[in-house]
Amino acid sequence: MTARTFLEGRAERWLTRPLVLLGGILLFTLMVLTCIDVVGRYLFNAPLQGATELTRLLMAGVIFAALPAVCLREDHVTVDLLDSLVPKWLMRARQLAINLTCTVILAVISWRVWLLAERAGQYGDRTEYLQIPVAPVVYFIALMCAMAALVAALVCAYYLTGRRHDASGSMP
Amino acid sequence: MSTALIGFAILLLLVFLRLPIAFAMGLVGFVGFALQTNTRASLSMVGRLLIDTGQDYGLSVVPLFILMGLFVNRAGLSTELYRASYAFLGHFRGGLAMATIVACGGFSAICGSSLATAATMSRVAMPPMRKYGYSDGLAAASIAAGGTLGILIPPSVILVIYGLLTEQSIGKLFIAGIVPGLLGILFYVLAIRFAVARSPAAGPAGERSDWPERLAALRGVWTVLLLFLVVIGGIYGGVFTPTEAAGIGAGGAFLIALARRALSLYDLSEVLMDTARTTAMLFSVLIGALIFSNFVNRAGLPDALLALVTGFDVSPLVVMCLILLVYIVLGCVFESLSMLLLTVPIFFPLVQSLGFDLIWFGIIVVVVTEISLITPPVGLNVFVLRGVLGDVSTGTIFRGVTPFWIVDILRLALLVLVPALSLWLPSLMMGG
Repeated sequence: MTARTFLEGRAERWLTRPLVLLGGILLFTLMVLTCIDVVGRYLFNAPLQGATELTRLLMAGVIFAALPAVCLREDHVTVDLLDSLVPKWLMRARQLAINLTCTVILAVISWRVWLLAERAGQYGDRTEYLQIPVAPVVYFIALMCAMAALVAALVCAYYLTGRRHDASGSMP
Repeated sequence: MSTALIGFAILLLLVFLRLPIAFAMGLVGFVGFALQTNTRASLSMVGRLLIDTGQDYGLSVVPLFILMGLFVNRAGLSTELYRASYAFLGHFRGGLAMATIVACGGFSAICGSSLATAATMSRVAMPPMRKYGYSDGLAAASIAAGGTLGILIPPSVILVIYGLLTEQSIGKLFIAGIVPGLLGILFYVLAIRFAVARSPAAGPAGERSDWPERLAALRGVWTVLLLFLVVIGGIYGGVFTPTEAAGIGAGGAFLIALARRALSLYDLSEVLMDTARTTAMLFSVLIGALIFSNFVNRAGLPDALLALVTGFDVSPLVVMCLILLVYIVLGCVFESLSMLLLTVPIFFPLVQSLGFDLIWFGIIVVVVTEISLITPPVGLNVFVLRGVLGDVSTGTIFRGVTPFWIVDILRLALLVLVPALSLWLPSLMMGG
């Protein structure tokens, strides 16, 4: 583990951690919602109306809210088989290149999803039963992907300035 | 065919350069798809896939089952499971190692991850085995092997991902994993008997527990056993969909942890945030794999593979054996989730058109993946243990693992030759 630098600590504290917490709260809501739905249906014959739709929206929230945190810690699933063979100086250059690639990919994804969100907004797409507008959720996904791109760019900066040397946050 | 193969080669290269698998698969899939069609079509394919997978109702089982495992873990179940298994098996020669296997099996019934199972059980089971003078090899190997059960005994995150990639019923996959999982426990116990018969000093017997002690030990685990029965029984009986079962499981586990006063508000937030992060990580690889899968199908790889295999004019079983061989070789270098994501999109259409059952293939793939978790040189469970224990060498653990590895291969052969072992239980399922 490299020492967490000041800036890195701030990014985690003010950006990614609150988002993960949001994801966690949405997850807890999802759990409670499913339980209420099931208990209502089997014990009281009164299922929660539209639970399926809410589940889908909450899922998007859980998944994408935590994405920037995964990018900041470089917690992605990777094959680190060759790590012991890579010299230290190359490690830094390699991680820089990798995070640069991730930044670009995430930025493109964010842009595409944003366009989809705009379209959903124009058509006024709503969920079937509860009539919840779809666009905000898609905007949220686009925004989180943009945040993740931003964070990946930040990680690039860490490698560039030498704040980080190797991928410390690999899979446990 | 050649486009897909070049794509696959580039994918492997990127992955070995340590580009995260999610991004490597997504990138190669996107570029490949664009070459087959055009950039616009590929861009919108990626965008749509991302928001659709992100809002998939059926996939909510993933975070909910992870959550259930973490809650039960917080409730201190791993220690109690070990105590209960010890009460029944401890007095046999090698009994502590057997208890470890059974406790691992029990733990994996609520935890979907092999690495988590191995890491948790090593903290619980290693100290007593050391106390009784077990050899490091046998002790560590039984934890590493027992841990592999985590991805087979339901609920299993790997089976959910397989189900999504191949469009198979997740409920059926879960039920299909039960008998092979129990068989795994049985075979591992036999492997321990064999190991201690060869070198009795490796695993001396512990103290015999009397019946009051045994019942007392069981009292600690009954709530969790009940939870498992409700969750899996509910899926089996067609009472719950997997999503509902996962919700009830997580909710029940939350209440158990709460009742044991094992959950402060801080713990709760940690558990929830851990789950959210793991979910984000899993879904990013999943979306990457789906993009790659779209490209491979578009490029006609499955058809080409089928034509190639048909050209050889060999029986489907031979083809299956070749596929399994590929898995075992890949398992030497890849971690289980990556291996599954890279190979399943390519192999499953072939397997399907050869007339094999995809539920059965799912179980077989998971068992092969389990084997890869304890196969040198990169058996991941072994490295997790090495990390947690600190003072046992990788070589020692791999040597100790050998008997377990052999019975694993036997079990694999048995499951391949007798599909009913996997398919009988799901065939009795209601609904589905």
